[in-house]
Amino acid sequence: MAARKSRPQLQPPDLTPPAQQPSGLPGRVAADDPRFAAAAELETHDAYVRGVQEGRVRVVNPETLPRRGTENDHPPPRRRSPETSLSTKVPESVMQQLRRRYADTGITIRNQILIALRKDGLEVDEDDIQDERKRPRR
Amino acid sequence: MAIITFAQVKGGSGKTTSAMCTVAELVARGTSVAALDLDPNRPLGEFFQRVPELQHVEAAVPTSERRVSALVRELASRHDNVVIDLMGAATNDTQVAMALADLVIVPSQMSGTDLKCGVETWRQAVEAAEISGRIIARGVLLARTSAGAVRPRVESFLREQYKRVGAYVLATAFGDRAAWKEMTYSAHIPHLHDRDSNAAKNFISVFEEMMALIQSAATAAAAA
Repeated sequence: MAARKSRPQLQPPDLTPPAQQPSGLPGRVAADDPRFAAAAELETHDAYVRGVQEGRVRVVNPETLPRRGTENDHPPPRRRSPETSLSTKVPESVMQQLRRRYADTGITIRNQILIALRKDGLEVDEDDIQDERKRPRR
Repeated sequence: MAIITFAQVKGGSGKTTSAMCTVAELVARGTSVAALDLDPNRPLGEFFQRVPELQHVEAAVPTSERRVSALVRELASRHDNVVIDLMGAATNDTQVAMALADLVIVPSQMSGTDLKCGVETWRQAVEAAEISGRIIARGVLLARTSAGAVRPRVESFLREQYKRVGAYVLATAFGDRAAWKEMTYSAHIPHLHDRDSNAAKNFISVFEEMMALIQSAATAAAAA
């Protein structure tokens, strides 16, 4: 009978807290393949917001979340109409979901509601789905 | 040069294991390879450090200053191959990593959630190809299937379901073996350390099918 093959030893993993990642890598020759430009277009803040609105993006990677106002983004849009305040009551469970989604995606509760209303057929201009608090000061 | 992206909007489907095995196979074949780890748990770098033959493999991670496309361009300028492992969720990186790829592999286990998320991932890959205006090879890799000769009913069912939505499923499935589960503890990679083993033969078949997909897409792109 053939001898049974010995199985490799299991080694305990290193469970010490991770060290800080070194910052970046040395730069070298830039490839000019058009895929890089196409991919960069998907890394803009506008592309991210579209991804959230269309359901493609449901979780944010905070390490790669595009910042507003990078060179590839369009200039901040102007709101089309003046704003008025709205106060209402909603079920606590709905509010919790809205808060959770804000924590996951960074889309404010105001904008989540506007996006939902627009999906339901109300006329909501893209320029009105903005968050003044995060708009860069001029 | 090939950029290979492992994507699945569901976690635990086999992306990281497949990525680790792909890097190991590229090293076994003597090619230059780097990895981009978009999983915040950072499994790739830690794994490479445990395997002497992989310690030289660069496992890059994004920083707030360095976007994924720029990072991959940099890696691709220094290595023949780049393997990208995505987070197991529909993130802002998913389509970016797909648009950069020559090949998108969608690992899928047998559950209904794997199937549903696998189809969503497939559709995102189709869209990424349209957005980037390129032919991107892609395939669904059935993972943790029975390693035995008999194909279970659910695997055939799953193949039918993917086919129904136009998704291509690799003929070779990634079998469920203890060797893959133990790999991150034992630092023993079947196709790197024991190429005659059944586990090694299984992954080498998967890898060769992946390479054939890249080749077919390159031929189609040249003919277009």
